[in-house]
Amino acid sequence: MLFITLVMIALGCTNSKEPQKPLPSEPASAPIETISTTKPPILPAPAAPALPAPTATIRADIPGKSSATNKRLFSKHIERAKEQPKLFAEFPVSIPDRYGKEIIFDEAPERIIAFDSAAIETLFAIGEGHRVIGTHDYVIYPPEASDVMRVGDAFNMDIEAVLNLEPDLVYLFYPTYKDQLEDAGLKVLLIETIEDDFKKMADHFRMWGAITGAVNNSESIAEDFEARVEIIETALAPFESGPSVFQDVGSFWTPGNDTLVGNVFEVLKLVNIASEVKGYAQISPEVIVERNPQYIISSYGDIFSTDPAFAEVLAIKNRAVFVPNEDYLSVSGPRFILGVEEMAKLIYPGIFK
Amino acid sequence: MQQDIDNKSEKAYVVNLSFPWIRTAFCLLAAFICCILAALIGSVTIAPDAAIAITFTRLPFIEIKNDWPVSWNIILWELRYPRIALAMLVGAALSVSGATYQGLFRNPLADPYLIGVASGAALGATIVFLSGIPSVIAGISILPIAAFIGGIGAVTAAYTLARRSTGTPLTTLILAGVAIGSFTTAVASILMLRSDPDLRPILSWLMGGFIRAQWSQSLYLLPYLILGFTVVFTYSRILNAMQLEEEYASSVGVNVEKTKKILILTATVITAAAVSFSGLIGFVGLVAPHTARLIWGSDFRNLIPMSALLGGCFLVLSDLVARTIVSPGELPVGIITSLVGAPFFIYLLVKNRSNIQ
Repeated sequence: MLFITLVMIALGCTNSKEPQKPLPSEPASAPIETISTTKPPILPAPAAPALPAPTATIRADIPGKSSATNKRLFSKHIERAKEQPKLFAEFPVSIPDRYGKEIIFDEAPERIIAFDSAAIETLFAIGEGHRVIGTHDYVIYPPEASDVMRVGDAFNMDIEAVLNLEPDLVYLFYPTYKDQLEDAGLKVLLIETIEDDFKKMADHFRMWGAITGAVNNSESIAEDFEARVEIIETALAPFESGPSVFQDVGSFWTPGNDTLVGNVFEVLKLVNIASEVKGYAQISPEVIVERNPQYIISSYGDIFSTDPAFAEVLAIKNRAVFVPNEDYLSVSGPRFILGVEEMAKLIYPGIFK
Repeated sequence: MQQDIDNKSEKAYVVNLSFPWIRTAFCLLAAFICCILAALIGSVTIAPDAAIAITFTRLPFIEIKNDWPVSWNIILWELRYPRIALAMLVGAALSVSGATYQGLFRNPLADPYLIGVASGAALGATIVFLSGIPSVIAGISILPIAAFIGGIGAVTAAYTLARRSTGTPLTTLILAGVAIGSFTTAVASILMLRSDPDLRPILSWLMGGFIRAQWSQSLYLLPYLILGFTVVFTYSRILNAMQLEEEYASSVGVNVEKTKKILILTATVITAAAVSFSGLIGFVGLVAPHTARLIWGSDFRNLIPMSALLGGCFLVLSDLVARTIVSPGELPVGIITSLVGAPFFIYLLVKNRSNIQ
């Protein structure tokens, strides 16, 4: 048995014989051509829906129009935000929590412990960062938040430190410490997590505006967010379905369609090759090779391009393995849209400039 | 292959007339079948005839007209076969070191994990992982070296703690090993928690698995395994003598303390090499040697090679289950080996209750 293993290793390492007639190497085509005209040679034909073949008019139309539309939409939006009649903060504010209970705020909380990266980013973005007195170790943005006191890492809260800070609101993103904190007499807010629709983030921004009274700032951030999503959706509306994609978040862990990133893929008309994965899961590399994604987003460094196992995957042959600059998509806060836009630009450089 | 091993065995066991040939042949056949199964089954279904053709087309002088998708060739030769090879070698490594520790400490429950070696090795590898040192320097993979330093550190600490002027009491060594193992695991956990918010990759490495198996890893592992196996096999007669009483072994001219040191060092090298390429995979070093003992008896000259064979097969089969049971997803193979191994451990515990007390 060891003998056979040795022979196999020897054969595998030497690779003496050319295994297959090599495919004619794909031209490093601009992705926009892939989506609009040529049907990429997916081997063997997957169950994925055929790529659309939009008419030449649409293709000629989109790139020119969209960048202009982009600018126009943005500037119009910004003007609109400036001209907007002032909203007025109204108290009391009632926020439904995850369990359907209404949490009432008679006035804006002055001392907030936000045990959640997204909440911290939102609070600072709407100019209410001064209310934040505590958070967890893994919060890395914005830089101003680095002075905020840490009351535990994301999964272990130092309850004594929390009580000692005397907060008038503790915002959590998972329920572990909720009862304990409430028993200690603190006001705790734990809302429904966004799992399937990243557009709901705008409501979170508005919620923080309502709680803190910064309704105008939060409204303008929410509207900016919605407008930018709309630009992307409008530009991609003529297309039925785009290229296939695989995202690796380390050791072949990948998001399924029921995650926020899966939802981003959906909005970007990308076909997630790991569509049946529930939440995040580790996927077999055999499946990646078989389903042959046209794009690979490798969140923590490119482990694919140097691995012989993936040499024949379209994304590697077309040099379409992307390592995002910053991990915007891991925090569902105001910077999330930057991650969506970054991905849109990477995959449709002809449409989004 | 049968021929090859038979020849080798005949030389080694020329005095051993009672060697159970039929059982051995049966096990070799079973091992062969489990490799075939592992090659044919996967999360991507490949037609068996194509798989056979793809396999044999790499052999010299065989030309087969290929009409299969290019991805199948890659899936077999770059993903599935390197995985089987690495699982086979790691399984063999863990079993040989497990059998060695069991013989050395005359404790049926000794396993690379029980005496702290694997946890120490994992700590060494974790430090390399987290410190950002490139894992290959000048063509030499430093992971096994770091793992070896960690493993030998752990076993030295345990050995020093347990050592008395009269020798090394075995129960004390096991207890010291468990304590050291818990300590190194705790240190590794602290390092992980304090370094990087994204722990998924290192956690899944620690849990053990072959998802990133490559041919090069088998190549790196092979020299350690061959060297270690040779040393342990050479000492198998002395291991037999040591099973009776250390005094007896001394009286027939065995330098017991020196032998212990050499064997501990060797078994640690093998464990460290295996851990650095596969992470922590428990219970292989327990299941395989005991199964081998049930089939071939407790003569270490049979036990060592047969443990290697069974351990390899056990891990190949466990990995087959791990990569297909939640297809297209994967489970860490350590979960599967623990599911099988933990009940086995309890069985041994109950069976040996009188010996241990």
